[in-house]
Amino acid sequence: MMVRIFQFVLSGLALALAFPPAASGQTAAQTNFFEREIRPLFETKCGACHGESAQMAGLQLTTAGGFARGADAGPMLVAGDPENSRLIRAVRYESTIKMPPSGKLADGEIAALARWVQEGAPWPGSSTNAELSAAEVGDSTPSLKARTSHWSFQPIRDPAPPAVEDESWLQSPIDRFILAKLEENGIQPAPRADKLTLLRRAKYDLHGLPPSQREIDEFLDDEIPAAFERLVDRLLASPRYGEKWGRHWLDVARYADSSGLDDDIKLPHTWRYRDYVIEAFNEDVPFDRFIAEQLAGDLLPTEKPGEINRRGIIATGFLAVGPKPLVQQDKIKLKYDVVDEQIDTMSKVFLGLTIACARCHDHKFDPISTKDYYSLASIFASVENFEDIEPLVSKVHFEPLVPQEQYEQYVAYKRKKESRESWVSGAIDLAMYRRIAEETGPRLAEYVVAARRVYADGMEAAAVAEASRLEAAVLEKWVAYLRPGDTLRLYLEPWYRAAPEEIDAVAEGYQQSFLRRARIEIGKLECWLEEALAAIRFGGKQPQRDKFKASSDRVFAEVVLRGDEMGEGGTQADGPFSIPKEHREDLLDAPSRQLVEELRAQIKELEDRAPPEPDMAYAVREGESVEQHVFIRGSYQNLGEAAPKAFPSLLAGQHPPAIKKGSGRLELARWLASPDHPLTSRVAVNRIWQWHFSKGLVPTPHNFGVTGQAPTHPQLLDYLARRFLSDGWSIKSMHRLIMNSSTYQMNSTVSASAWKSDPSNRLWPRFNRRRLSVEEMRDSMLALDGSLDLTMGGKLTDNLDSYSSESPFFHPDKTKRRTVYLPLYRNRLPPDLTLFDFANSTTSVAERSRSTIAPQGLYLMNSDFVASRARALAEKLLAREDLADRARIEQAYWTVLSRPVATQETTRMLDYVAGFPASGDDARHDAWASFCRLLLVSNEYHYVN
Amino acid sequence: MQPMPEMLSRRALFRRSALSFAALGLEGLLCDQAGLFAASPPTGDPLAPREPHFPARAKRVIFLFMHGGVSHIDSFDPKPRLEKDHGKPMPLKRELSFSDNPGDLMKSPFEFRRYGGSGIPVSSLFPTVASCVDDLCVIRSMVGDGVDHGGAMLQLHTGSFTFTRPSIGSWVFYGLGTENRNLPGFVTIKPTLWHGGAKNWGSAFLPGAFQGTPIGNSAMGLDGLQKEPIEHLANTKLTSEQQRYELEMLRKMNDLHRLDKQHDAELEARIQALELAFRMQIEAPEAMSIEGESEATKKLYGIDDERTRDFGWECLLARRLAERGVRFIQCTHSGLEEKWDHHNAVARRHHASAREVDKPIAGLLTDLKSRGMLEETLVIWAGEFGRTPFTDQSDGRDHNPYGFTIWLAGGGVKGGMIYGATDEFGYHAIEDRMHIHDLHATILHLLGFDHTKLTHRFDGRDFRLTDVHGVVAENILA
Repeated sequence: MMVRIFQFVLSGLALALAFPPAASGQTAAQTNFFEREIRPLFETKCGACHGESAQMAGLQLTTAGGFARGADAGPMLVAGDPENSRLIRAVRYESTIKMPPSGKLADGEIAALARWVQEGAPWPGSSTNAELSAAEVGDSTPSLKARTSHWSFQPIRDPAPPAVEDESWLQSPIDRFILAKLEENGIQPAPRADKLTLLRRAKYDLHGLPPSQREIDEFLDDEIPAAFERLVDRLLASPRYGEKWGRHWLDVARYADSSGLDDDIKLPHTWRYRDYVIEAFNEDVPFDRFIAEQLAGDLLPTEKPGEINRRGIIATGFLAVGPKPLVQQDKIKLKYDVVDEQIDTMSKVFLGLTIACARCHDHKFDPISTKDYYSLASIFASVENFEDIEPLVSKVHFEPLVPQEQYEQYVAYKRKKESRESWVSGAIDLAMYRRIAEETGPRLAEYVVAARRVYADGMEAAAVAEASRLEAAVLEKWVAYLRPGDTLRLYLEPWYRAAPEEIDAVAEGYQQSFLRRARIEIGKLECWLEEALAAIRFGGKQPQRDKFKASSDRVFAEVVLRGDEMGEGGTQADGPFSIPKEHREDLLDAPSRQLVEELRAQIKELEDRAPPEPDMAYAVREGESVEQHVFIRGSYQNLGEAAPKAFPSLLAGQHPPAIKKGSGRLELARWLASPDHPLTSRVAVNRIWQWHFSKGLVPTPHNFGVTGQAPTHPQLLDYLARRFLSDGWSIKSMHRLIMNSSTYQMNSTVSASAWKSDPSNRLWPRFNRRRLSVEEMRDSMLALDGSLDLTMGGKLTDNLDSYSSESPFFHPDKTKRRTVYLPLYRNRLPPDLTLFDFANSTTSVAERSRSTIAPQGLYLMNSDFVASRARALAEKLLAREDLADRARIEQAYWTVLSRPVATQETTRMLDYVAGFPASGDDARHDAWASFCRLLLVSNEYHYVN
Repeated sequence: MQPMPEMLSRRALFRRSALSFAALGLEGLLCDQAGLFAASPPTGDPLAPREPHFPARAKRVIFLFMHGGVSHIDSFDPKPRLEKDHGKPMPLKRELSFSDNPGDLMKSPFEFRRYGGSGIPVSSLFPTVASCVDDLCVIRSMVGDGVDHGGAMLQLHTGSFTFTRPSIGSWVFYGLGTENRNLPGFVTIKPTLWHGGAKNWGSAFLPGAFQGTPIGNSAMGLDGLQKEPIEHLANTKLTSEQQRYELEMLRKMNDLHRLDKQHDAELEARIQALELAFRMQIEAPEAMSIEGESEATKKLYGIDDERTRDFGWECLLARRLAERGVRFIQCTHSGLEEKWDHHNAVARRHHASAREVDKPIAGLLTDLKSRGMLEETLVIWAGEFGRTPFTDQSDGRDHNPYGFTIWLAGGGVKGGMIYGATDEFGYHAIEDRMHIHDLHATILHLLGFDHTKLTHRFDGRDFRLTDVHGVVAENILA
């Protein structure tokens, strides 16, 4: 169904276009004029009905092509002749057709249109809009419906594994699909990889770590043919598996621990989602359930009714952890940017489609209309992501993982405690202001005048103080404060500009103003303390304290506050009349002191009986159900037709789950996981394949749409998708199916024939050699000497605000935990990780980039981390007094490269160590550290065959 | 890994090229550059110098970024109406803003004077820059979409204030390649880590080889930075003899490892990257060091004065990098926090911040001019937005993206010119409005690009810096 729902023919509308608009040859001035005056007019005044999402009367006025096509009833203007152009007559309300129907354009706008037609209606080339190629502008654009014939929207077939000539090669049904194509192309598959290569490959593949000596021995000793199968089973049973494969998922889930974008607000509780993902992989949670938990886990039934669905709530972190521009001040736009981000992630991750393209216009290539987009937006807009979206920095929602009652108890405790604490500090402030107003304030003018004698007339401060009976220390501070420096202080200008005879009067003026301010602050505080105390004693809402702001009275602030109280924009020095914080409490009068003591006792009592801090999750919850409309060209100020909650109409299938109430997230999850969904299982098995083989069967894992690449083996993809379903969406079963195939177990050498006919390994005649990921690199280097800390889960730091050099998120070498557990702040990802292509977390990452750049070399050669790991390994080897140097080298090769060392290599390395140009006590240690670094930097170490 | 036969044939090329810095991005080598140039398809090497679409006015850009947002009405856009209406309520509708407690109109605490042959008014904030005013094209009609720093900065740097997009420096590097393989093509000096952080110099979906290389960050002190301008550039553990000894053996090991893997070009690329890193470690520090500069030059940039030393160093380093063929150099004026975001005490704080940059900026312009470099170097001076004519927190000013001032110099723009205007309060741009997209289109134009044709295909779509917007400001072209 095309989106011409609005379309109806306005009989009588027959705008005539005698000449097509000029496509080129216009001057820059004309282009400017068009872009500033004409195009915005078409977009804003005509676009709703004659734009991209609706073309009433078949007329589109927002693109050159649409304009050139004219209306159903014909062309619409005579270039150079506004008087005879239907367009102009319609906007002048001269013809029967009066446009826009909602109200006549302003005179200036009509004049601009007429001028444009007069000049020949030049429309800057369609290339002005990069999204529109000439072909798309023309009539050749396939209808949305026609696009559904694309392969990935067809039902999943049930292909029989094909027959092959060399049956002896087969270990798994997968092999038939692969071998059949190889045979067809006359390519020999690569030989089976040797045992050690397979072990290292499987270990890095499933755990992201090198095999331990014990694992090597165990596997080499296992002579049974099924040894590899058993190895795979052992590896899948280890919790290290979830840490590796969970991280793959965290890439696509664009996981991070901060809001990203503008102010990158650091968020607590995010790590629970990360731990959930790792756990889900370890437990082999069926993928359909994995989808449901991440989209709507909070809505899933619990085992016992009424129980808190901790796991389900945490799992919706999938929706919550995306980047959010929390400081954006257009809060409606913020809401819909979040919706858009969620649609984008959900659709790429589960459907392999770029649905978010349809936010402003129908998808250019895939069968997704703008209305489809807003129907999905209707679902996500009905999900609550915020506790309070309105403040300067919008507050995101955290969901308690305890019963509501328990949570409220904790909130009440916090409120009680904080109201008392704030009363106590208010009472102390009042005592301070009173003291200043009574004692020092009334002598302000004296101090100011005295200070002038010192800084201007060059007299001794001590002598002046004594003569005037002022306190010398205080006077010194006044001198420092008033001495004209190089900072601009407009509020002191009257003082500096005062003529000698005016000095006393001006000083007096400052004193009056100072005392007035003190009285205001005292008055405000007295009122507040009274009201606040009543609220504490008798219940009721705690009144907000209107604290003194330095910017409202600079002089007062700079005289009474300590440097660290001045806040942003203040000077850093202590005010001349300021009282040290530790002395202020002594100023309390007896009744106030008694109250303060009473409240402190209450605080102590509260703390003694403090309820435990409830666990929280960064998660979403159901919000108010939104009746969504299409936003024309993505603008919420421009409402189009209603877009009730639904799935993309041309992809929804025969019987999509109906959304009756609520946001519809659960129904969305059910729809995605319905067995006849053509995309979900294909997209999922393709990812699993890609994560094993470095490339997917569909090389564009996030794009199964028309512009994505076709699968190399469509039948194999469908076979795997079907197996996935029949194996209960089990990811671990899929690993077994794939890894126990001859396809997986080939070595990575290239035969001449394969190189010639398939250089890029599209037909899989060999295993793709791959470089270690940065996690694999870092974790392995830590594992060398057993330093890797295998503690699982939890948060690494409470100190979210610290960016100090000790912070593990900025300096991964400050911790020895596995890399997957490092906190990730989007705008400050650890440089050591991003240098090696870590997922950037700003958007779902289907495939990490693979860069080979010189700064990586600098890191390996010069960083403390690599040096310290090499040193640690060297020390470990040298400490083995039972070993000769030859055996030490042998041991190093096993530890780092998981293989025996060749005799020539040993000789070469012995020579290397002996010839290392160093002298002194540490020479031997330096030489061995250098040898160890060689291994850690070598290509062999960084690649998995 | 995908083998790349074309890499092997270029091995010789790698050996010849002196040194590739942030270069040698394998991903870059593989990247799909279709659409970059309709006329001259790029060679296989993404970093090779390339001719733009048409003859360029500027060969490179130096972008002086004032983090926080300079008040245009206190610097380059005087408003007599504010003198008159000081303290009166704001009569215009208040747009979406950042502050919670906006106040009344506030006149500028700074005095404006006319300078140069052009008589362009400049306030007492920038007395030294004012002496170069005849080289400046002061654009008083800038408009952006972001009211907050993050959004506004991302838009100024990438065109988008909501999505992650390549930085303008990456686009320029992507379009022009580099003339000097010894240095990265896009350098950002002491960038702030706030408000988008690395996104402001990231390459997003462009190949990683085109991302900006940061020299420290705004929170870092100069002393440490001068020792090691780029992380891990210095080897502190081995003597140079030891390091050579180690690398020789490494080469031997890697060559042996590679013997039976002739088709895997990535292995060779990695060997090359390591060797380049070694040479860079020796050569790059020279480019980054100002030791060899004369005392007069250092003085010109204010390096002899504690207050101007930091930004003076940034500007002088920018000139050195410009001389050595770096395409896009950004100097950021920031610190532990923004230098210009004065929601309060705007008079004192703007004054203090201006003094840190006034002399260095003028020094840079003067130096570029006397070396004959200004003609082909486009200098851009801009904050992420301007500030409001009414107060915030009694004595400060709020963010104002609706109308503000930036200036351009050299690189094919007219000097001694004022372009566009704001209303009588300085709140909205009303004449020759120049949206950030238009600025981007104009910058690319000066570099020889049709901004609608400098595109990159990603996720099935052609992306460009100006998205679907952007009009070149023809009137400011020299």
